[in-house]
Amino acid sequence: MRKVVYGMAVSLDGFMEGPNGETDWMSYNPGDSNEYIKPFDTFLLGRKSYEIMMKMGASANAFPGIASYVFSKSLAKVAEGFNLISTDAVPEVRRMKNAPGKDIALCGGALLASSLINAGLVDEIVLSIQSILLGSGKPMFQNLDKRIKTKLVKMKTNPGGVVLHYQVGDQA
Amino acid sequence: MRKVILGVAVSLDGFIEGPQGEYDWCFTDQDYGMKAFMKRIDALFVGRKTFEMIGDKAFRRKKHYVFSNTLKKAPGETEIISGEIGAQVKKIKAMKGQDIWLFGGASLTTTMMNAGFVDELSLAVHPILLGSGKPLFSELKGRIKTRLVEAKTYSTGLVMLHYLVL
Repeated sequence: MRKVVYGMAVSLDGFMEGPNGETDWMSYNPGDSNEYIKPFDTFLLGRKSYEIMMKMGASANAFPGIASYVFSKSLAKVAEGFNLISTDAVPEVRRMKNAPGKDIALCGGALLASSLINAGLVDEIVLSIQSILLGSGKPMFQNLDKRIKTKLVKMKTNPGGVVLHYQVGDQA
Repeated sequence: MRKVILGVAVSLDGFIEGPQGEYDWCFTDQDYGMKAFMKRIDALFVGRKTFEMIGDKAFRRKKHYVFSNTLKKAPGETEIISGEIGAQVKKIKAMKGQDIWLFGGASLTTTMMNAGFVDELSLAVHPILLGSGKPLFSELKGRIKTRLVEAKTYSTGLVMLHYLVL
């Protein structure tokens, strides 16, 4: 079965974005992200994360060989190269996991990630903790409905901070 | 100058307590560098609510400074700090002695961070998502840069992260 890996950069106080959606505090290392995306052939994006990517000038061509899916019930269409999914994410992702292919990278946002975690569909979490306190902002999870144990599998430091890699375990 | 070190346990999703104040998820099976840390410090900064929970007996031979505007009496050597804390904290930091453990809770921690009194952060990141609870900081006034100086993993999956506040 394909794994779903939730990977994101967060501030030391656990925010994915500043209070006004700022992402300028994230250090970005192209070498690291090329290495990171190797096991994947599929990206999953929430509506907001997709809109942020678009604002940053991203295009589907930037990731050859990767199919990108945007989950949104409000968007009518998405840019060329992206696939819009307007039905419930949970059954869709469950179906994807059982289909053949490489692993699936969940790129955000918090709501999509939380509903997939609540449904037990996320296998791993990779947190790139940046060495900054934002003070306020958007938390990395929203509406998790129970405690979840994780298992640390890898830790790596880099100039931006520390990357922690966990397997998602059972309900704690 | 004595350093003030915020030392707390946090969940992977950044909470220091569960939604009902739970801290049963904190690991107590091994030392996690606590012995060495206790040798570094000779005093604690504690908020009133936290002090009422832990008392003055949990950390023997350490000077307890309790921050409160309502508390009138405290046992033994414990000192109550009230009113404008700025000058008093500066004075304590300038006193001869070892470093000071900023123990919590959240409101004292936030005040100390906003005033620029915290020199280091020592976070014991636990391998658990709590889902909700009390965040590490509430109402920081703005961004604060830090530098990671040490990251240490333990067999249980706990990661000890040590930062300098810049």
